[in-house]
Amino acid sequence: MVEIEAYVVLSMVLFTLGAMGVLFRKNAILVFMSVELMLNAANLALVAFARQWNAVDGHIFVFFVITVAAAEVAIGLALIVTIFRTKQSINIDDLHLMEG
Amino acid sequence: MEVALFLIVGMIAVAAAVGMLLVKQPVHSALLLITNFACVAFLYLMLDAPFLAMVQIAVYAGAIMVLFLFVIMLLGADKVAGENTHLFKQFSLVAVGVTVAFFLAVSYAFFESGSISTETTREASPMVRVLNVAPYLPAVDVYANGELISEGVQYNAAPERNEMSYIALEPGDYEIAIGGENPVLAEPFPIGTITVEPEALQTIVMYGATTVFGEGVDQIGLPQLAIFSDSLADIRNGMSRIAVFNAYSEADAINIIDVGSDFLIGANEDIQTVLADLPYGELSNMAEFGSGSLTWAFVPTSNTDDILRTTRDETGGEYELVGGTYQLMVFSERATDVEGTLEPVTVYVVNSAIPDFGSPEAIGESLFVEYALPFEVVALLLLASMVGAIVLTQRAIIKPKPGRPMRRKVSRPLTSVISSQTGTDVRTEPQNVPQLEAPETSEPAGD
Amino acid sequence: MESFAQLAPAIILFPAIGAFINFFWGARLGERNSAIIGTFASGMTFVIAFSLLLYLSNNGFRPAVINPPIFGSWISIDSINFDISWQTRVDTLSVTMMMFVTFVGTLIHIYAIGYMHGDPLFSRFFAYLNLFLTFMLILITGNNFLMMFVGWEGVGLCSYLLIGFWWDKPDGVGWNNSNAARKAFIANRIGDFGVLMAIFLIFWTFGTLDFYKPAETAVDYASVGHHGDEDHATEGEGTHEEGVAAEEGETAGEEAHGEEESHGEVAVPLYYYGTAGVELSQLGAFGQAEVLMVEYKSANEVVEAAEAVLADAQTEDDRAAAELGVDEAEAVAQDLRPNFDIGPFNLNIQTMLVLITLFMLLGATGKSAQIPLFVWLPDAMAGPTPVSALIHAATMVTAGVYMMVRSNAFFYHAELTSFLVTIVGATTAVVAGFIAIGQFDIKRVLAYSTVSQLGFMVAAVGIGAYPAAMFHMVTHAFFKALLFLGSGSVIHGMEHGHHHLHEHGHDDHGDHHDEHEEEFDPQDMRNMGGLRKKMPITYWTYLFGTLALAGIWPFAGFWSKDEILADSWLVGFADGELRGYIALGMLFIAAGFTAFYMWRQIEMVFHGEARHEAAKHAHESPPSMTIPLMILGFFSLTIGFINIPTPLSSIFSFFLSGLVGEHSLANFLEYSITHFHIPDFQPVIAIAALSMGLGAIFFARSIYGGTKAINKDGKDPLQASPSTGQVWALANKRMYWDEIYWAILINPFIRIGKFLANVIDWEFFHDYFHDKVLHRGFVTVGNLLSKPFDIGIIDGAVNGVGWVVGRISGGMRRVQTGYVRTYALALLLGVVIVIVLMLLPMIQN
Repeated sequence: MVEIEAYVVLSMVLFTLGAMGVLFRKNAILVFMSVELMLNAANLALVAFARQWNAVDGHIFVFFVITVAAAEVAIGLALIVTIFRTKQSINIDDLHLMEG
Repeated sequence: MEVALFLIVGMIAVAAAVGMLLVKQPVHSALLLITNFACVAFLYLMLDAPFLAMVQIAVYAGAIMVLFLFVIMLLGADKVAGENTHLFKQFSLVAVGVTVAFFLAVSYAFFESGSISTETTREASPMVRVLNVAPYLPAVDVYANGELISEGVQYNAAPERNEMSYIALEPGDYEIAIGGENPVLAEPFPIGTITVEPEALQTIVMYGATTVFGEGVDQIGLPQLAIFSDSLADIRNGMSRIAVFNAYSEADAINIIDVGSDFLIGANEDIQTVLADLPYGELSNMAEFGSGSLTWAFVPTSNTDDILRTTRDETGGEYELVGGTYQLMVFSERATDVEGTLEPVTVYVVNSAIPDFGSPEAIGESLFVEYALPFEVVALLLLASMVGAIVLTQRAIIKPKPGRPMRRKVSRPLTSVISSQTGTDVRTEPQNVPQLEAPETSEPAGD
Repeated sequence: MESFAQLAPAIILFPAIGAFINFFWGARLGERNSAIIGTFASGMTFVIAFSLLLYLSNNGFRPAVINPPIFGSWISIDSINFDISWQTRVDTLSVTMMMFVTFVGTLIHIYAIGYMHGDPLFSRFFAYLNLFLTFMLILITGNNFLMMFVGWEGVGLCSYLLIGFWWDKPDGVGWNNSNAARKAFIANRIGDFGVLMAIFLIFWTFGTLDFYKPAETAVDYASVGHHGDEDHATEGEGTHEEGVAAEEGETAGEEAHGEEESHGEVAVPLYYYGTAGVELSQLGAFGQAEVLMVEYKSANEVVEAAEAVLADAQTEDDRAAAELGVDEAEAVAQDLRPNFDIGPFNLNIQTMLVLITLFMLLGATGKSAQIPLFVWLPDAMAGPTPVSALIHAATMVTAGVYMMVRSNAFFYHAELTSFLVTIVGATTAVVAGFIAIGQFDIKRVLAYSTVSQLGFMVAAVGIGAYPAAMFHMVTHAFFKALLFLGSGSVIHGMEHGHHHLHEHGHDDHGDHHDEHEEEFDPQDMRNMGGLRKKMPITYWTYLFGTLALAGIWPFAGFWSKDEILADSWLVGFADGELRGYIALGMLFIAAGFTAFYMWRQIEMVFHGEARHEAAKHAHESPPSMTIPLMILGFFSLTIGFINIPTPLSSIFSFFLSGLVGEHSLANFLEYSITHFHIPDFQPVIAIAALSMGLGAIFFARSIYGGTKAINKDGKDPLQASPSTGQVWALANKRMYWDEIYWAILINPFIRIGKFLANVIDWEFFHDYFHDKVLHRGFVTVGNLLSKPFDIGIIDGAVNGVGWVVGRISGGMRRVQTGYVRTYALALLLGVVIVIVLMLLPMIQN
């Protein structure tokens, strides 16, 4: 029987990797994928805790997170496509019109 | 074995994540991410979440990542072109520092602070229910340690199947007392002591009427008590789990035999004994059966030819098994006349099985009952995002309709009014502005 | 029937709504709908007026005061216990006014549909007509002087608007029209000043502006009882006994009136001045006036009694004692007399009433076009003919007479004013009648005739013949409206004839006729003649109106004029009062003038031969114009029968009992008019007046008959005759009345105005004061303030704040790099910080 801690540590590692992806990659799609990775890491933690507490609510949350992630991906990719149409680039560092 | 599996899968997941971050090609990144998702789905399986594992594969790996791949292919932006930006000089350094700090902070919080407990501290509260099959006991209120736990428990000899629900009770020893409308029960009267086990569904049965209490018309028979655990969980799909409780006081022990569809012992040679030697006041072991109807007969162990009762009801209806249920059969007795003659009777208590942890049934029950409103909200969110995606990506730009041209009203200037009154154009000849004059001009065609 | 009285406020509402709709949406509604709305609103007022008449006749002619749901307390000042409600008064006097105002008004609305057809401002005309009806009905129905004044001003406004209705006519005509409107408005303002002063004085004197308080109207007539007047009528005409009638008790005194020989039957007495148990403040202005006059007279009686003792005194001692007694009586009387302080003066009630009524007379001369303010009315004929008929003949100009009749309680006690009123009325009647002889404009003749007839009414008020004045007002409304509408029909026909002519001639020799058009005046009687055959309906109805106005039996004017003459005969010969003689003499002369100028008009317009091409091509007017003419013609013949001095035959009285017959109108008005007398039929007067009228007609026929109406030079026969030429010229020049006003009033006023404008305002204020003092000083101060203060301190502070904020934000904006990754880093950093903060307490432990 694998301890719950193992899953949580794995989750933390994956989350941190996702965060680094968000910080270091310039490709907007890669940034998005990193966000997905972070969401998955959180999901993993949720499922692990659900197992520990023997409560199915954690699964429900994961279900919702997946759903919201799907919505977010739909909108985000639509935005990326639109941006690419206008700027011919998906380098997020090219998008700094909101500069102060 | 399990640990090895976890280690292998976890390492693959981490490696895939690292690879995703490092490779140049977005397509490769996406494929590595899919690998990572598959690993996570495997871990879900290990965590008893088969439904979520399937969703992970289908939705994440199947739908979302395909969308990613599709967009990557569509845009053809394999390599990020653009100026080599320096946000600020030490960005990478600061970013690594912050990320590491984050990891350390979370690790510290998880392992050292003690604020997040890893122990399984929760004990599921035991649930109990009270069944009254004592023939000389009227409807009573049942108290546990002086606290009312069940009100108005009727003597139960109903031929149809009952479904009884449970109430929560802390584990421990309880003194059970009964009270009711009968004058002798004006004060709750203790009838015995039970022990409630933790984390279990338990049934308290009041049976028999061995002790007589009260006098005259108020006389009641005080019941005996039994408590046993019910097993509603982990019933295989389509099976029914059956347990039999013997509360028939006329015989010391009973057997259950399968008599076949004709219910005749003599005609059928291959009589099988389903259950042998179940003593009075005991619960049999549980057994699971497939669908179909039961053709059982209850006989005393001492004389197996004497059929006390069959599973057929009075109208000759067969006892049909229902899949996915736990069925408690109580073989008890009822009084037929005032003299106190008792005859056997069977009471069936049937409950639906509790779904497995992490199964679609469990999630669906929780999702559509407890989380119905968030579910609807998320559905709306999906709808809105769908519309939003369509609106964002459509190319046509709708030009606003130009407003209807308005006509401005211009009032006549005063000079033109005066001009029309006097008949001379005072705008061009200001010296001709009329003056008040003597009334000769208003004379109508006089002499 | 009881609830009919509650309709009274709606009589104002209907024309007001009609005016509102026509004013704001009239142009969109179109001519037909505007006409329907306006006429319907007017017709509804007649329906309501009729239902109010039914209410009165079914409730014993008891007055009702209706409080409308809104304006319950119209003007209220708590600190001085002053409260004026927007109350509607329904009594016989107001209903009489309402009946003929709404009836004639409705007919004129119908007439105007035809007359104003094609006018670009058709709907606005109907809006104005409805607005006029609204204000006229407010004037009539108000239960206090303030409401009356609202209506009074409102009808003046509508008169102004309607006289100047054709202000935009080209070639200077519009200018003259607006001048006429201004003239009317200004002349009326002078009269309004009088009304306002009267109202102020009434409030000062009585502390209320209500005619009658609602408590007074609640007095039950039945409890008042009937009294033979033989016991009381000892002083002849207009005897008035009042006060605490011992046998009557508290609620009501009674009035015995009339003349020993004048009438057989006693009407139901008036109700209000029972003084016992009634506080003075519970009475309206009229009731208070009566009560105060009783006190005043009783005070005088004390003095008179003492003086009588003095006169009887024989010896010196007696004489001395009597003189002491007189002094004592004077002292007592001084206490008894109700006195009022006005500034430094202390005036008794009678003097107050004289002052009030004098100011009222000034108002009446303005609104009812009497000397000296009558000059506006002839010029008011510049308005469309329906306006002349409705406002300047039938209704609005009677407002002055109505006010005086309503205030008869004041006028009765103010003998000086009554005398003056008689003089003014009689003089106006004669002067206006004389001027009318010399006019050629068909409407102008009628205008002066109106002034003259209003003089009759005012004179009747002066001699105390209030019902006779009202009677003449009613009959005059019908036949003068008829005459005006008839003249409008004639003008309409002439214009159409001219138009017809013009269109025909245009084909042959257009230029000639174009010149001709500019000279043509469709109102000039010299262009007419022989219209009898062209416009038969107009002719016959016009003839009816003429005979009614001339006072020929049995037309309406005969009865009403005879009533006034009979009354003045009685006042003069029976009571021996000077005003009676004056009124009788001058009104007789005026009656002769009336018949003369009216028949002159008939001869000029309808008889003889056509003197102009347009007259030859004239034709009859459309039915919407002739039908009102016929209706009014019928009433010109019959309306006099509502108040004939002798009983009618039983057939009529069976059908129309109460409405037609001996002094029906007078008996009807008795419930509203406190002081009045009903003369018996005076055969001498009647025959004399009739023969005067007939004689004048025959005289006019002998001068103007046949083709002699206008001689070949285009002159009046009287003008041509050397013996009468000078006199006629005086009449033609309107006795130089306007010229005198210009010379003595208007020109000096203009000179003063020019002086004030040029010298005081422009040269002094603008050139000197404004430029030298104000402008220069302002510039100096402004220079001082602007440079050091404004630029230095204020601008410095504001700019400094702006500079500081700009620098700070310039530094801070660098945080907003616009790069998403920076934001993500900041977010993550924030997360770390939050986690560390949450962990802090645990680390310390």
